[in-house]
Amino acid sequence: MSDMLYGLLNALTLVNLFAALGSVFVGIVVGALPGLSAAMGVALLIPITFGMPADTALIALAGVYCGAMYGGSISAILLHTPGTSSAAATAIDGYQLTLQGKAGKALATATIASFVGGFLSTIALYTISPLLANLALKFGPTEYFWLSIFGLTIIAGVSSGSMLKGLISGALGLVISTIGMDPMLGIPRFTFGQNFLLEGLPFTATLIGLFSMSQVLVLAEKKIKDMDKIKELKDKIYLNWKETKRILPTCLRSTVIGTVIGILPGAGGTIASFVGYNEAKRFSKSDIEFGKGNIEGVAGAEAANNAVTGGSLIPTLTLGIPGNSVTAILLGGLVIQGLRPGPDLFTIHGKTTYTFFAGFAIVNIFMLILGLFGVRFFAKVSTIKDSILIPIIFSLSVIGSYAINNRMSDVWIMFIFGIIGYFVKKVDLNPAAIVLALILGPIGETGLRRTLIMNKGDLKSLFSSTISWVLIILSVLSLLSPIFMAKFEKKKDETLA
Amino acid sequence: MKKILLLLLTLTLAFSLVACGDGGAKEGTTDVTDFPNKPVEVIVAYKAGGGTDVGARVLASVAEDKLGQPLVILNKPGSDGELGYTELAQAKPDGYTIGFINLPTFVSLTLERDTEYEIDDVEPILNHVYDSGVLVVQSSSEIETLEDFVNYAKENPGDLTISNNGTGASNHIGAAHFAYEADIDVTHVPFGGSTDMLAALRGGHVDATVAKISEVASLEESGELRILASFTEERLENFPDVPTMKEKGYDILFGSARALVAPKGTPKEIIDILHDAFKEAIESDEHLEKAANADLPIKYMGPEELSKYIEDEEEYLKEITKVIDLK
Repeated sequence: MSDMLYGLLNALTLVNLFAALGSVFVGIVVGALPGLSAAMGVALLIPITFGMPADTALIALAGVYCGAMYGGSISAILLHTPGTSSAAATAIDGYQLTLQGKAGKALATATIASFVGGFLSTIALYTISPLLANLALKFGPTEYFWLSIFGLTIIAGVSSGSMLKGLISGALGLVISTIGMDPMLGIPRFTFGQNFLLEGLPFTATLIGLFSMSQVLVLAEKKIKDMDKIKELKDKIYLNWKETKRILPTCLRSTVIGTVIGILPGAGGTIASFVGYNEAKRFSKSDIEFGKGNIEGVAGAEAANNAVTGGSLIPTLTLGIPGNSVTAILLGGLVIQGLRPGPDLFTIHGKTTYTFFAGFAIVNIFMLILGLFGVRFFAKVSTIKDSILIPIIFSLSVIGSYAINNRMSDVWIMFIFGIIGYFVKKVDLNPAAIVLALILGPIGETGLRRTLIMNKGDLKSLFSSTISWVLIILSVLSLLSPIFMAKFEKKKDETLA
Repeated sequence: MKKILLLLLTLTLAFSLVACGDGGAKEGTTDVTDFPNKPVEVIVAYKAGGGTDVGARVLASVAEDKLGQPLVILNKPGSDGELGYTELAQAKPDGYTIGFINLPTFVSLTLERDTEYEIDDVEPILNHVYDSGVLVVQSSSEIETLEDFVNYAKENPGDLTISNNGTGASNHIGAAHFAYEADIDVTHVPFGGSTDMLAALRGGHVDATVAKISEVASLEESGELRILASFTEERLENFPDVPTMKEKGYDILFGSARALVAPKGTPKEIIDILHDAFKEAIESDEHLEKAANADLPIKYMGPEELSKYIEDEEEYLKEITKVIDLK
């Protein structure tokens, strides 16, 4: 208890408060800029934190992480270019609201939902982190296989519009995910003799290409005819009590979803926001259609991806198993500051750990304040003319894809996927489904093959654990849900008619 | 028509940018007398935040002061380190680009595939870290000793599963060599990296794992894992009760080292300046304290000793890959 109190007081010192405020600001800017990911923001900040005292450094890292997770929603809503991949689900309804002149409402929803998700996930970090950490270890190869199958079934729900095109996108993602070294045998697949492809496609560069660079091409094409249409934040950044009450259940549900998914290694903000979005859609009583500008869709996605921050830190801190790419980078920063993942975390390093936890909560409060009062500043990026925006996104895409691994080959990959992404948008395929399959493909493949290696090829072993069965049932439900939904909606239409 | 033109222009800009990016060759002065007169780049062939990166940053933060110039860590991950190693090998040998290599990976890659660098493309400066290999099981496991392990494997061929950090990666070589020496049949399960490999053991999904001592020391101390044997010449200092493979009759030494090297052709005087600065840094209290915090087992080796060590590794790996099947 004394460590917990010490941590709280320590986090409230002027220096640490300033670090929290400053880092959240930087994080939101990084997140809001398309092409700069949370992972990149943290990676760029780590060298700067070396010179700081441990607690201040840790709080600064937490601030960038949370800020960037939230900041991604701003450009997703205003520009339809998710600043981070985890904001892709936010863009679905958020951008529709912007087109309807309700950008302020969408941003307020995203801010409040992000705060609820992030802040409540801190409570999980505090209270149930040892308990939940056990859950992650229970996930063996078999469970990962089913987890990825469950994730893939979500694609059907993600792709509003044509399910067929969603499935084609998913299959495309799965095919692309097989590029690189065979994860079991170490034999190159589809690398065309290019050594830089041995580790598979550079993930973030591919993403920057698919989402940002393709947007540059789309914008370049549109620019001439859309010259007079400047998107502006006309309405207030405000939600009335009725609307707040409407999104609250969604926020809470997505917080739980995000926290749990955050804990699972490999499954990060992108998956969480899609699951959160999907569940919001499933449970919604609202008569506004999802995909047509429903604030519950924004809330479902944003609360989930910010809840991932707390959730993903749980296995990172307790077991040293990062939940996603950001925490993987964050882990390096933590270790350098002497915060060793493991059993010593709450004993020997208790003071530092609890300062970090308290800092994490404070960071979320600053995020809410900056979000509600500063969003007009962050939103300025959307009022920038295309002629300025195009070169900015262009340069950031190039710098961003280069800076992650300091490799020119990644920039090439980014351009290639920019062109692919352009055509994907042209023929109405779903880039988010491609990304989802790209993440889940290798998890499923290695999970299945490891299970078979471990059990001498016995397929029955895939059905031996309770968690497996839970995931199988969830997958079946998820697969059947569009059919039920279609029937249900038909019935509703009939009764109305 | 106009929009197509615009699209084309955007693409042209893209490609010209890439072309410029590749063209910018490094220019620097090779003046031995005032070395170093500008920051030194240190190539790390693995991701920021990984074990190699942490070690490099810990050492660099101390060595900067000794060298009198900033050390800039450049992470160049990819293809198990091959991309970074290649860049290091091809860098201008003026002392302003040096880098870390991991052993045995630096050597084993050249044996496994057609790498773009050769082992003797680099000039050893010194060794920084040596992490010994250990065989571990869960502490709740029925397998209490190395004998139990071997006996169980003999009675149930292929039943015991050992997780490793990737097919052909260091821990796989260690585990396969042990299985060969003990004449047992076990199932090797490759994982994406050391953390995944350990998580599989801790979750009870595999029976054992071959890991590095720094990765499992705290888990042994907390009572979660049990170390059956170490792949070392002498017993481990902090674990005097753990037998060595050697004393149990299996003559296997195995561990991983991280060393600082320069591109081949770097002048001897510059190597000496770098060596002296880094040696002083390694031996400083500040460094030793930081290294202990990050669980880095430090082992200094000079250029000659390191050179010999690399040769021995190559010899060993050539021999061992003849008899064990790394698949």
